[in-house]
Formats: sequence, C-alpha cells, structure tokens
Amino acid sequence: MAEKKKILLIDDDPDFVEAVKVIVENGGYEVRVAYDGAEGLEAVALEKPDLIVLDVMMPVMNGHEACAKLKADPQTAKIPIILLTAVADRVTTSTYTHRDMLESEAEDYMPKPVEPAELLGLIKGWLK
Amino acid sequence: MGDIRILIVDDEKVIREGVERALAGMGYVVTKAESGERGIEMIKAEGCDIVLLDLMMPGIDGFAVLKWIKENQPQIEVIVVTGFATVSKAVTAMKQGAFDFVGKPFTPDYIRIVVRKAVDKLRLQEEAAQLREERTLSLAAINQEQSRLKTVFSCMAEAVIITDREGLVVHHNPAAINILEIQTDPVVGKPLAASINDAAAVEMVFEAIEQAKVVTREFAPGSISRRFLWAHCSPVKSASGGVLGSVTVFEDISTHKEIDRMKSDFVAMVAHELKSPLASIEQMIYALQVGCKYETLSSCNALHNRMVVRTKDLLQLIENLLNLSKLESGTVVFHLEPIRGKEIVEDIIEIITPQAEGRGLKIDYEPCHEDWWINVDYDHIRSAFLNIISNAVKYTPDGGRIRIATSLAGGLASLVVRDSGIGIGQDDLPHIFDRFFRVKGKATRHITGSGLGLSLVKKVVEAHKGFIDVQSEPGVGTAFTLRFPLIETMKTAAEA
Repeated sequence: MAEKKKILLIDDDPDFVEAVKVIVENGGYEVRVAYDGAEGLEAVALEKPDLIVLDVMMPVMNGHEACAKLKADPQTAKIPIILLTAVADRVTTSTYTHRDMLESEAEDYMPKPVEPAELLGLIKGWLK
Repeated sequence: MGDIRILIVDDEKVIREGVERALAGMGYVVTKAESGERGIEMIKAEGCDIVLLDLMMPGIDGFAVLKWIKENQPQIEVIVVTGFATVSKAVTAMKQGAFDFVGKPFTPDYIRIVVRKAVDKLRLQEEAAQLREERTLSLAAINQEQSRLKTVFSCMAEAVIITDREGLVVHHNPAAINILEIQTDPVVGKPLAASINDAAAVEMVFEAIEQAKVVTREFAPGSISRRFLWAHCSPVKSASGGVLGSVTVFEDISTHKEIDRMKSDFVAMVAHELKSPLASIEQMIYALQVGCKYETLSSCNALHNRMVVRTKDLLQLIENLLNLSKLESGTVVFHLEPIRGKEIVEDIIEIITPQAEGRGLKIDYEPCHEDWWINVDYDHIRSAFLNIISNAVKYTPDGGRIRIATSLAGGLASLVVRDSGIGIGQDDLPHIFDRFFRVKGKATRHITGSGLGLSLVKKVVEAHKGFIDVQSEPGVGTAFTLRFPLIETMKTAAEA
C-alpha cells in the first residue's frame, strides 16, 4: 500500500479545521493542521506537505501573504495550494473577491463551506 | 397737514375783526391777539401756521414779534400788516423773514390772496418734507435689505456662488472660500473657472445658464475640494424669462457620505460575522455526513457538541446585535428601580461558580460591608455584570483565579472583576469596546464569542450614568471596574 499523501490544512477556526480534517482523512489522506499563516509556514518547514488547503482570512498572517511566501520560496513553490474563502458577492473592505482569488498565485480556490466531494476531487486533481 | 391755524396780532379791534371776517369760511382756524406779548404767548401755548402781524403796536411791536418768531418758530409764515403803508418798513420786515405784506387799508380779497399764497407755500413745504422723508426711509429700507441679505449669505454653511450670464462671478460668500478651497482672492468679476478649479463644476453652471434649468451634481473628494460636495445650480431668470445669471449652492456632504460608508461597512461586517460561524456549522454537518461512517463515536459526539455550541453562539450574536441596535437607536426603555447591589452581584457569582469550578478556577469575593443601592434596570445591569464576570472566566486558563470586589467611594459604587487570565495587549486594549472586535491569537483561538458583549456592557453602563474602566497586562490578567452612582440607602430601603 502506497504511503498516504500529506495535506496541510490552515484555518483559524478550530471547528472548521476539525470538520475539514474529518472529510480529508476520510478521503484517504494524512492531515496536519495549523491555525494561522505563520504557524502554517512553520509546519511546512518542519514537514513538507503534498498539498496545502489554505484559508484566506486569518489573524497574524493571512492566506494571501502565506501563499505569496510559499510561492516565493523555491523549496515550497511547487506545492499546490487551494485557497478557501467566504467569497462575497459584493466588493467590500473586509472580504475578498473572485478577482483577488484569480490574481493569487494559488493553484485553485474554493468558497467556504466546502462540499466534501468537491474538495476531495480538487485535491485528487492537483496531486496527479 | 390739518387745518391751517392763523393768528391775527393787531392792537386795533376793527382790523382784527375785519381780517377775521375776510378769512371766514375758508376752512382756516383763526385766533386773535390784541398785542405783541399776547401774540407770543398764544404761539407758545397753541402754536400756529401763519401770523398776520401788525407792525406798529404799543409795547412789543411787530418787528420784535417777527424776530421772536423767526428765532423760535421759523416754520411759521408771517404776513406783515402795516397801517402806514411805508414800503421801507415792509421791506425791512421782508428782510427779517416775513413772507409778504399787506398795506392798510386792504380789501378782503387781497388778504385772502396773500394768505392763500402763504398756505400754498406751507403745503408745498410739507409735501417736500414728506417726499424727502419717504426717500430717506426707502433708502434705509434698501440698505437694510442689502445688509440682511449679506448677513444671511455670510452666515450660511453652504457655499454660494452667483454668476452673471457670461459666467463671471458676481458674488460669493465666506463659506464658498472655505468649502471650495478658493485660493485666489478676490474672484469677483473673474470667470468662474478662476474660482473653481474643476471643469465639471464650471460646465454645470454653464449648462444651467444655457438650458435655463436647475442642474444638480455630486462632486467626489479630489474634484473641487477635499470634501464630498453636493451642488445645486439654478439659473436666475428675469420677468421676461431671459437668463440673467446663476446661483450655485454647494453643500458639504462629507459627513453624510461617511455615515453612509460606515453603515455599509457595518452591514458587510455583520454579514461576515453571521456567515463565518454558519460556514463552520455547515462544514461540521458535511463532516458528520461522511465522517460518522469511519470515525469513532466520540469524535462524532464532539462534532455534534461543537455544532450545538456554535449554533447557540450564533443565536446569541443575533440577540446581542438586536440589543445593541436597540440601545444605539435609543428605543430601549430602562425600567429604573432601586436595586440592592449586593444581591445582584451575589446572584451572578452563584450562577457562575459551578462553571468556574468545573475548570478549576477559584473565585474570591470581597464584598463591601455596607448595604448599597443603585437605581438601575435590573435585567440590563444583571446581564452587564454577568458578561464581565463570565468574560473573566472565559479568558482565564484552567486553575486560575478570579477576584470580585465591591466598594463605595465618592458617591459611587464600584464593582472590580480581576482575573489571572491571558490579558489584553496594549494594541488591542483601545479596541475592546468596538463592535465585533475580538482579540485574535493562539490563546483565544478556542474561545468563542460574538465580539459584541463589551460593546453592549459599555452602552448599558453609560445609559445608567456609570463608568467602565479596564486595566490589563498580558500574561498577568485583566481588571474591569464598573462604577454607578449610589442612591440614598435609608430612603430607598424604606420604600422597598
């Protein structure tokens, strides 16, 4: 049996992290968690994951910053990143728009909450 | 002018009565004096318009009377009557200010003609005086009207710019210089473009003039000035309908715009605050759908419990939001009544103790030994106290300590709630009463809350004329102090 792929899940809401962890684990992956961008970078440095699921709105270091840092580092640039966000329909100061997502260097993005089948499909696709 | 009053001064009775007869039926009021002294007395007492004056009288003669009249009542016209028709005397009298003279003997007709001439002169003089007065009055009115307009103009908060048909500035008020940030001075007589450095604004004025219609427009900051302006430009039309110029009023609507923006921001913030816990709840539902097939029962139970907690929190958040909105709009009616402070505090301690002990927290209570009363709305104050004390429990790590103390000083009752919790950083401290503000970090990650609790507490405390203070040191703890005006214990105790 092949070794399980490692997914790093970064989000500041522990309940959300727990819920996504259950879903991704059930998809047959090994899950590591971190609760903000800075913690996420530490986790990546400690153990390189095969894919990162990254929330955008977080305290300390937000998802965009963490993503930019990961993509700027040749050691981690190749790790696929799926951004998660509560994308709003309207442009406001406190939420991110689809355009923000498209301009990001992340491989993909999904609105929160994530449907299990969709998330697992996306992860599977980027791990090929 | 009313009836013309004529005084006849003559020492000869025949002349006095002759003249009186001659003037009868002409609408004059005629009186008679038999000497110079009597004449002056009567003028002093009753006044008159025309004096028919005999020059040659015993005692004070006609010349003396004439002199007195011209010195004291120059408006009286004097007609000299002289028995010795010496032209030289009459001329002297004329030189001294007499209006005309009549030589004796005279015909009644002649008297009438001379008197009529004098009356006509008086009437003309009066008319002239009236006209002069009217003219001065209307000039005063015009001056007043102008200065009134000027005062209104300069008192206006809105900028006013008046132009002629060619767009030359005719007038502007002080607010215009201020609001439109006009640098060059003076601008009167120059084209509008010299005052307003914005093509769209100038175009608006010309549009109003050329199309003879009212034009309104908004100007964003950075166009005309640094403010948000609303402009109302109307053409000034003459009676025949031609456009004479324009009057433009600029209103500074920056504050309205700011309130508008804050409202939108608030709605966005509320939407986000409602959406993110819901997203987490939905995610947990998804997790349970797929997870329970594989996961252990305890893990599923944990997810279930969290869903219940998050749902309750969400409901609480909506509740808090509604309360806050009511407090801010001033629609909350506080039912003030004297409340024994000790009771309210001890009631809350009783509620919170099991919860605290469950986490190994120790609650110390140092009550004030005096009986103290405050005039408050029981429900609102109870929830405010509960909020502060349960915050202390929430933000204190297991095994910590919470000290609750009450005291009286300077007419105020104080409740101090001190915890040995995680504390609040200097950067966060000024924001803890802001709506939706929550301290975010590793230590607070697992603590849920709406971020509205302290905003509510502050509003409630202030509505009761109380004060709220906070002191905190990260890693050491936080102390909240609530103060309320005391009411007289004896009196209210008796009432209660």
